[in-house]
Amino acid sequence: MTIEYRDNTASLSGFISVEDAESLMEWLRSHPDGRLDLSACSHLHTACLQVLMAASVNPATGPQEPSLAVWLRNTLSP
Amino acid sequence: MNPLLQQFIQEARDLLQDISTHLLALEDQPDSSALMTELFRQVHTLKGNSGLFDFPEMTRVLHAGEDLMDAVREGRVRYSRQLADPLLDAMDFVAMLIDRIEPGGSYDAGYAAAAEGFARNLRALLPEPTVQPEQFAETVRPDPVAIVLPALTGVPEAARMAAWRAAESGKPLFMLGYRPDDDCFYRGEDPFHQTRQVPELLWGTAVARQAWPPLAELDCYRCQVDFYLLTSASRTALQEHFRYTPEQIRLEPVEPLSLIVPTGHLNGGPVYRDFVAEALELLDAQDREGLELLIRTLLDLSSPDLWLASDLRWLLVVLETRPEEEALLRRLIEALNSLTGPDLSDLSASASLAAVAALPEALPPSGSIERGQVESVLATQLEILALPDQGAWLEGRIKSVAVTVKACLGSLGEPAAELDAALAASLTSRSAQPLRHWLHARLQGGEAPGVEPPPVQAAPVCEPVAAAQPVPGEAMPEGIRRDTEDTRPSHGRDDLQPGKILKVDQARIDRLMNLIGEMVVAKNGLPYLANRAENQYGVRELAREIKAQYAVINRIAEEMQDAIMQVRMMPVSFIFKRFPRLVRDLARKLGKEVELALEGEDTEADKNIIESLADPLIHIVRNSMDHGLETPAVRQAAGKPVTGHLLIRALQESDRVLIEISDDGQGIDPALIKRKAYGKGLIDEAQLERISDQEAINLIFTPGFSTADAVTDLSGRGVGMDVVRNAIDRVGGTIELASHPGRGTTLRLSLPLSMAVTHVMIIESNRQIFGVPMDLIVETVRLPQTAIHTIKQRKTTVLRDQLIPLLALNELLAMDAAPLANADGELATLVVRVGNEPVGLVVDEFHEVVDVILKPLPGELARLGCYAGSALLGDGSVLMILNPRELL
Repeated sequence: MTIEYRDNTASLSGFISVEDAESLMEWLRSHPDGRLDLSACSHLHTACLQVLMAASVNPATGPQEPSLAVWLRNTLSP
Repeated sequence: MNPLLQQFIQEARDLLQDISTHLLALEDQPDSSALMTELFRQVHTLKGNSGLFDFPEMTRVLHAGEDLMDAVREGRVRYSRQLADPLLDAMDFVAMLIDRIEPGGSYDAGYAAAAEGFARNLRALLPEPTVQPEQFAETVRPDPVAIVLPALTGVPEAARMAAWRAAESGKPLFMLGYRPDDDCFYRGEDPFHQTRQVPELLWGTAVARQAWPPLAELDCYRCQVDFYLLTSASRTALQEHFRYTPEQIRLEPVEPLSLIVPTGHLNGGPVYRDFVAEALELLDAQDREGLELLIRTLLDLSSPDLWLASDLRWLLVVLETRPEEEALLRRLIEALNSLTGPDLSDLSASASLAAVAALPEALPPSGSIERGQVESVLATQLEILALPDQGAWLEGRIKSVAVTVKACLGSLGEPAAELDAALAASLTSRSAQPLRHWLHARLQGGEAPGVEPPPVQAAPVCEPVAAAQPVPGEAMPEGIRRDTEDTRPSHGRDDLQPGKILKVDQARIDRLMNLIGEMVVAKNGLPYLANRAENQYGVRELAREIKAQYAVINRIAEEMQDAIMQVRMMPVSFIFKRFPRLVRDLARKLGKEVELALEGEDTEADKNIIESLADPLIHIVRNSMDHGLETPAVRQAAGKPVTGHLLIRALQESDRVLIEISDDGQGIDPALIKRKAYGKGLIDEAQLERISDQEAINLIFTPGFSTADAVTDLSGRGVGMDVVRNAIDRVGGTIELASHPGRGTTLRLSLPLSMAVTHVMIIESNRQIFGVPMDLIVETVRLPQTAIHTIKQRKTTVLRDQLIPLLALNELLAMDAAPLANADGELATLVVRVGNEPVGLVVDEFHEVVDVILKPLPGELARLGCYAGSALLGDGSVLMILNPRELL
């Protein structure tokens, strides 16, 4: 499962592996106002997580997976 | 000494040599990362190896060196001479320790201070002294103690309440900090995944270690986050979960009471006095239900963000879980007066709470494990109750289950009142249903709600969530980590032996050498045997066969000899490689600029030859540096380039090795040498007039000659070039000197490739045979009596216009016999060169030239200087080899 970049939205689904970290970082750089859709995401690798943290983005749509949702809320909310 | 230590010493020597070579090479190319990486690896290996033994001083110095090189490798420090000097000094110190270790297996204590000094010098060069505090640790990993756990107030209230409930049900509470390795991603680790799988997780967050850099500069493949978690798993379960990275976590037990910290907006002043008074009244009246109603009413009226609301919520939780804790409730209510957190620190001493608080700390692992086991017992009881309700034993069954369950609850410290009620209901209705319902409800609801639905399992200690959640194959952290863990320690040792190089004790090779020598002798006996077969017994056929067989054995023996000789061969680089360091140090000491060039380093020669060359060569190089090459100022004045050149070149020429040491310094002034030699009484006035410039230069090889005006640290201590010449002579070498004043000096050494086999000519005198080394023989002549003249009572002859003194061997060996002349009345004369003078040695007869293995004379006999040694001949006779230098 991977990340789908469409217009101003990146949809993360399933398991986001370490290989996706770089592309995610590039996308966030070129789309500072980009929307993140994590609804179908079940887990993301630490490397991707820290990219989200460094970019200080709050996903527009949080993951449906409850434990990940809590984690991201704890981590990404100020 | 134990073989491991022996191997360590040997490897350490090699590594130290390599390290110093690399340090010097780095001076020329300070930016070469390949060199730096290699250097780091060598120091690292040496340090690792030293750690196998109890040499903390050595390890400490090497560790400091390793840190410094690591800093250079990462570009935090620039390599320079200032860096090279302390590193070289430190390596010398290590080499000294190795020397001390070798004889006895250890060095005496007392180097600790010195080691500390070296280590401090090295660390002083590190950019931030905080990188590695003064400590003796193998690890450069992040220090777990450095993880600062966040205050509990940072944990959301809901999570704290969940934790409180978990603690209420008898579980331990831990705050866990996890700082993964920077490069853990490269080992296939996913710390986030790892933390998400932590058992009985109540709360968790990831926090940046430092402020984030701009996204463009972020290295997303370096882990830069820490994780903090609150969990109610047991200590063993957590340690098990992080068993591959125990040094990266910090575990702190959490006191349940410390969880009760109301948070929120303070908003206005304490306006709730009525409420406080009313609540306290209800509390005093033991009206818990009224109190709860009162609290809920105020809670409904307050904004949930307020500090007040938070305090009320805690009140409700405590009312629910610990309605009997009056003191706690009172504090929480009274806190509303001041809107400051209740001080609960003294409460932990109160009996019932202390039991809860102390349990996780006192018995962290057993609490949870026991619980798991109890749950499994209860689950079994549930199964028993599910059996069909029939038969006379139903009542007994129900009662037995009740007893078991009661015992279980007792062990968990839970009340059993409800159980009794359910049991009574079951017994009256003669059905297991009521008890079963109760037990079912107990098992479902017995666990505190957490962030994750906690699984009810027989053994919750072993990563229940990991088993429940399928994970894509890419992130199987266990397996991958185990692999890397297994392979990691072996790296260092594998690297040590590139290719298949066998290190063998020299004594074993020497033994082989002796054996092959004996074999050659035995083999040489065969032709004698063939001759006897033919001449004595007249069996020609057999003689021919013996000779054919001899040819085969001869070929094999020669090849074998050659092969063993090859084993003993060593490249001259063995001694050459110490020169860069020597030249560098000397140049700096003397304030000279010198560039050293080495050529033909892979030229090979016998180990003994190479080893015997080391000291003479060092001496020669020192002389060149001290007397030959000038200081930059002098060179500039003479119109020469400021940097002097020193060339050491080795090449092979037939069966000799030539080594040339040349410099472009001031050369040797023959006039100066002559004056000095005269002044020291080495030559007389007549010689002073007569000798040529070349002869004058050669005077520096005379014992006791030294040109230096002042005795320096380096040379000129009177042990001059004569020592060099003797050392070269001893291994059968020669030395030539050429010098051009103002343009430089060249020394040329010529050495045999191998000392193992000596060519000797057999001569006969007074019916005895002797050997004379071929390399000393100039020619053999037969002199008619008429060619022999007597000058000043010494016999001489003129050969090709050169006057040659003649000496009879018989006379020299004190044998009372006149030399025998041949039929034509000619005397056999062996012209040998001793030093630079040819001398004629009169003998009776010349025989063949043979290859022999020269063995030095044993014991006392070794002091007979006129013999170089002995050798066995093919017929079993012993041949004494003469040493003409001593003889004459």
